[in-house]
Amino acid sequence: MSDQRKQVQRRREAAARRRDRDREAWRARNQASQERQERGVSRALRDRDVSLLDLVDRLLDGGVVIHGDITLAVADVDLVYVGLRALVASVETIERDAGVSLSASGPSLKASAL
Amino acid sequence: MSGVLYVYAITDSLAAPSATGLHGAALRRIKSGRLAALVSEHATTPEPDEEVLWAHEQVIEELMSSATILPLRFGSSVERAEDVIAMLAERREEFVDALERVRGAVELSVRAELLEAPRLDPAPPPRSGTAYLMERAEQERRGRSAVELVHRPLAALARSSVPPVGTRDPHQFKAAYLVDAERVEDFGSRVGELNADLDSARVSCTGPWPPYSFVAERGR
Repeated sequence: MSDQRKQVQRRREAAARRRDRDREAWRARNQASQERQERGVSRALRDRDVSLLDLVDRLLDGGVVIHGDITLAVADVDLVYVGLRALVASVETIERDAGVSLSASGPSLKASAL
Repeated sequence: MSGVLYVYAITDSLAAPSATGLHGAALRRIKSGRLAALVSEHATTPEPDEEVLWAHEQVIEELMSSATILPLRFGSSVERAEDVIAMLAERREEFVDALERVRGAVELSVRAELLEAPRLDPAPPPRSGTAYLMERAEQERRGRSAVELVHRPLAALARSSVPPVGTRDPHQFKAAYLVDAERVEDFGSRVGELNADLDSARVSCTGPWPPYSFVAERGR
């Protein structure tokens, strides 16, 4: 076999390897996207929780404030987040999504029956 | 009057309120010049629980469907109608400006969970303080650039935005966007595209909300 033919052969093999690699990457991407879609279905409940967190963020932390006449102090807002605990998947989720540390809220909160 | 006046929103719309207040209470307009506050009478200020929060939101959304409004924070009440009139007069300029800013727009909320590339090996314990700090810096850099990946394309579709704040975890991103009502659909599609394109982030969007995060200049 001439050098030239050997070179062509090597190039062909390299191209085939690249093709296989691309195909593998494509397959992996496809599978990831399928898994994401499946997660989307099972996340229906979580989306409700996300809406609730967004609602609480807005109603208790946004909006026009009338000075001195607001019923809720900052500590009370934390209490509301705690009160919503049962509705959200886990305390960890609230802490993560709301940036509220429940564990740092003191023994009285932990003791309350929520 | 022995009860309280519970205040929902401020508007410059002349139309009679189309909604009913919390617990079926009648809504009333208290005017001061071109501005009006929408209120209902209650024995006490409602306590927040999930049901009341959603009921409050529903009142605001109904008001928003026919008028430009500035929503008040939940639990805002005053004792007398004169208090409302005084507040509207004192803060007239602020409210007029804010109404112009949000007219024709709605708020959309975006949260993104940024997923790190999985580590093949468990992280070795940092060899030194410097190594630890460098690792932290690298983590923050990755977090920021992922935020850029989500935030920049969405902000381009928005009238304004409240930048990502309020979460401790660098992999949790949340932001609010003030979006023209006619661009809401485009915004939603863009969120869908980001979700499909970014392997490193899971993006979710809720809304349209009343412009809670845009009642004050530069957001809140």
